[in-house]
Amino acid sequence: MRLNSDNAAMFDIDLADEYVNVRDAFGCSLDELEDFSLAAIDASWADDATKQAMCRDFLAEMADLRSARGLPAR
Amino acid sequence: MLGHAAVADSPSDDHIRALPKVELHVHVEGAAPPHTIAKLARKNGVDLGVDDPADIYRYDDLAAFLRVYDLVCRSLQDSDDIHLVTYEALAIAAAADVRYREMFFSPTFLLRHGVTFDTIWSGIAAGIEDDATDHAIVCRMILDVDKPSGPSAAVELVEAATRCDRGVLIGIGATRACA
Repeated sequence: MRLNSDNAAMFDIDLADEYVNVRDAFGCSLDELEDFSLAAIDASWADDATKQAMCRDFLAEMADLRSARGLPAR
Repeated sequence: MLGHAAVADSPSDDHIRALPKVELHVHVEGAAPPHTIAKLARKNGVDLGVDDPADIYRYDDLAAFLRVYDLVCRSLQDSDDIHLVTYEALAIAAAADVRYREMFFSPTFLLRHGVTFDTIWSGIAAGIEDDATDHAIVCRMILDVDKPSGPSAAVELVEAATRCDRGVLIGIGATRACA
């Protein structure tokens, strides 16, 4: 599953707001929220090399964000 | 209430905002902030029918939403206008830590108001290039074909799209968006 903002300004939201809304509505965990980003990479029309590089970068950044907050790794 | 406080490992708002993101369904014409649309409407002599720009995006149903969408499109009349809304839409996304976005553009609305396809595309391409430099966000575009306009209009759009940079225009979609 992926999250999108569709007509962002017309709905007065951005994509981060949608992540927060989904957390609030469905009680999503950090793992699940991170998975939205990783699933969107996979579903994009980027070429395979771009997808792999983006996935690697995202996982490293997600690990840093957890580490900075004292949270366990995925 | 479905509160996130009930979930033990629920991440904070700032953690969520900082997560790297990819966005695959967003329309450039609906992603411009109201103050920008108000500025362009004033420049181009379009009456948005509101005193406060914050009231532009108020609607009660789909028909009213599409009327607002059409007014927004009337406010975009040259390449610089389209460059600006593209740039601002991507800057807002970058601030939400979107790193890669596939974005729809729907030329049918603007073509109706006399803006050419090449004008639309040059503004979009310039906005994408500037945001890549300024905000490190990668954007690729999807041409949105308006189904009710019929097959010959669709063929015209697709033929025009052959002039676009295929590294930036990566797909074709179809919706029923026009009011």
